[in-house]
Amino acid sequence: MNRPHEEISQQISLALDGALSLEEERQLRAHLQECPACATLWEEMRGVSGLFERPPLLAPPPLLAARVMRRIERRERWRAWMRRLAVSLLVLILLAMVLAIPLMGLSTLAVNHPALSQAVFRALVRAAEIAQALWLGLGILARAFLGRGEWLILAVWLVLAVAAGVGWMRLLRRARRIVAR
Amino acid sequence: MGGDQELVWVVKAQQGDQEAFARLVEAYQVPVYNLAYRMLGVATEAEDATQETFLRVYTRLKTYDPSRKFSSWILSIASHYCVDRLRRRRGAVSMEEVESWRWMADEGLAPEDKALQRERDRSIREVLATLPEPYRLVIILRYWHNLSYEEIAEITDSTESAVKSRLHRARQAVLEGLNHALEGQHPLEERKEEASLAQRGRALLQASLRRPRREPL
Ligand SMILES: [Zn+2]
Repeated sequence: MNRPHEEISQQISLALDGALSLEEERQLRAHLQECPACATLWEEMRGVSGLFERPPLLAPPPLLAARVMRRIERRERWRAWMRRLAVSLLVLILLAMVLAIPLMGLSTLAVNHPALSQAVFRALVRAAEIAQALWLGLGILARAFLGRGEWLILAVWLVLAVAAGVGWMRLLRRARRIVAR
Repeated sequence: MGGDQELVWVVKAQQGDQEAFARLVEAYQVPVYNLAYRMLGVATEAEDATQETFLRVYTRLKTYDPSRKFSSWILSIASHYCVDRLRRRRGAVSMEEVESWRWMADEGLAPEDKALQRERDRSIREVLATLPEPYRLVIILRYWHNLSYEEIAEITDSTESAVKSRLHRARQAVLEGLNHALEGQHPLEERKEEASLAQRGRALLQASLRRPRREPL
């Protein structure tokens, strides 16, 4: 009967959760009958437990579930749009590749005519500038419309750009090999 | 809710069926919302937290392991979200009164007890606000969600024995808090117009001893 106070206290908690075996419960009850300090603690702990028993439940706002579903729908629409964008980007790259092969055949022509190659170079620089402007615009748009998701979207864009670049290089190399053959 | 029916919805939702996911939201909005309300202490924040929780559930649906209990999985996502949110929170939040019509009907409650319920909610909110987060969480899962030690351990990423002692220390902390509040009341001190936590605490300790046990959430 001289168990440390902390142990009895822990047993009381277990009893409140209905986690004691019948034998343990019997022993605890016996102790409470002969120890006023623990009996008081038991009453107080029962009070604490009772404070939370049958707690009041708050009903969620009526439109909560609908709002969740609307956010999910919006998200799905956005993702579908991004998928479509990725696919069209890929198609664009493939198209550019196909166009690049005859252009490479023209390279010998360009070497023989410096003025022509200069004009082509200038056109390429202009195209790169346009691409850069589009890129910046997309970043600003993403930041404006997406709030906290902006960095994720930018990261996705970066990954897509790197992937497109790497794919482009590989295809170019392969194309060069085919041309060289 | 039947476990089989639930699993059907989960599998359909995993395959991208939004209607099935809507069913899951309907089924779990009350437990998630009440967990968030009790963790955060503010109804408006709880609504936002509930939305964020379900968005996370949606995006992680493919990672759900059907051998786990779906309710435990959802509540674990909700708990983690609330704890993160509390960590990010700066400064104190103002307590706001909840309109009485928003309380869910309690079968055993007479209409005139509605005021009592509001009072009780305020006491509970004050008591929970004083508890450290890990204690608050186990109290909520044990009493609001009627979960076993095992389930609480699963949700809080801990062990059954850790849950046992945490729950015990949480109750001790509540008791100490109430006693401390009682002792701190000097007669010379200005009395607040509203009943203090300590005054209501004692009354609640008395009243709660006569209250029957509740049904699971
Ligand atoms: Zn004793």
